[in-house]
Amino acid sequence: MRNLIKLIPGCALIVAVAAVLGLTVNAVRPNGLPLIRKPLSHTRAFANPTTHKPEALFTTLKDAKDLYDRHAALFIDARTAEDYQAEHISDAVSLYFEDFDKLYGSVMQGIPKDRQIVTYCSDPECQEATKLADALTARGYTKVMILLEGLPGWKNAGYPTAPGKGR
Amino acid sequence: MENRTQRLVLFCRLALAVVFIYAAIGKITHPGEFAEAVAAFKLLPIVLVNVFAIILPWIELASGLALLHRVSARHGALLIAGLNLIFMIAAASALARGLDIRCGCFTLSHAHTKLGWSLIARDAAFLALCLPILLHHTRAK
Repeated sequence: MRNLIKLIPGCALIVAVAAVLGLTVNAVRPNGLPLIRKPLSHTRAFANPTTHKPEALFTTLKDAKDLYDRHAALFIDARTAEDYQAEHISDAVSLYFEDFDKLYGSVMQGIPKDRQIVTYCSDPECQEATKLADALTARGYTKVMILLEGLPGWKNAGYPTAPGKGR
Repeated sequence: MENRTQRLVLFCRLALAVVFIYAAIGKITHPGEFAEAVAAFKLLPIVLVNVFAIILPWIELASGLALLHRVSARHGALLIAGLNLIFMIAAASALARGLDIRCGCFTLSHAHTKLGWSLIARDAAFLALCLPILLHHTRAK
């Protein structure tokens, strides 16, 4: 045991070197993360459903359900294809954000740029839906909103979901 | 007998080094994806998630590399044992809270393994592989 305790300074040195390397690489790499992660709900505003801004904003469950009931929006699931197949918002399509460039052409083919779109992912702190919404906005889609509560919020409200491959 | 023990220790060192270097490279090359996996555990304050996701893979990488050299092998084994204990506690806590999330263990291959008790058993096996390295070298001192 005493021999193991003697290892601790060496381990601390390895951790310190690793931490410095990690932070340095993160600072210089193009896709580095911000050091402080903000709660997602603090990062942008909720959309007024009657006006549209160039930035993708959040939508409330109530407004999203209203769009859903009127078949006025395309719901896009930003989670993995496996998660989508397990359960998704009924009639939603799958576009896993990490594979955006690969899937964009096939999923979004024929969808007009002014189509109302609602993206969602797995919970209020997952960021795939926000990143997907921003990527769609960058491709010219003008009416993109993010369902902050994600699939769990939708399910807990008793709104319809479905398993399977979908469309 | 001593030869057999040495071969066992060498096997454990190499096996753990390969696994942890591979796991680290996957996380280092997909930082955003790994940060999402960390956040989904809901264990850390949200402001600490990114720093943890940035540093942890480098600790895995350094520990894996440390295992490859005889002088630093015990340090690597002790760090990997500690990491595995943390992973097991985090996974058990997430399962106990009913979270249906991805493991985030190997982000490299898009193998989005769901968190489950089998993954805790796998971490326990990795932990067991650390013991011969730590005990053998401790006795040899």
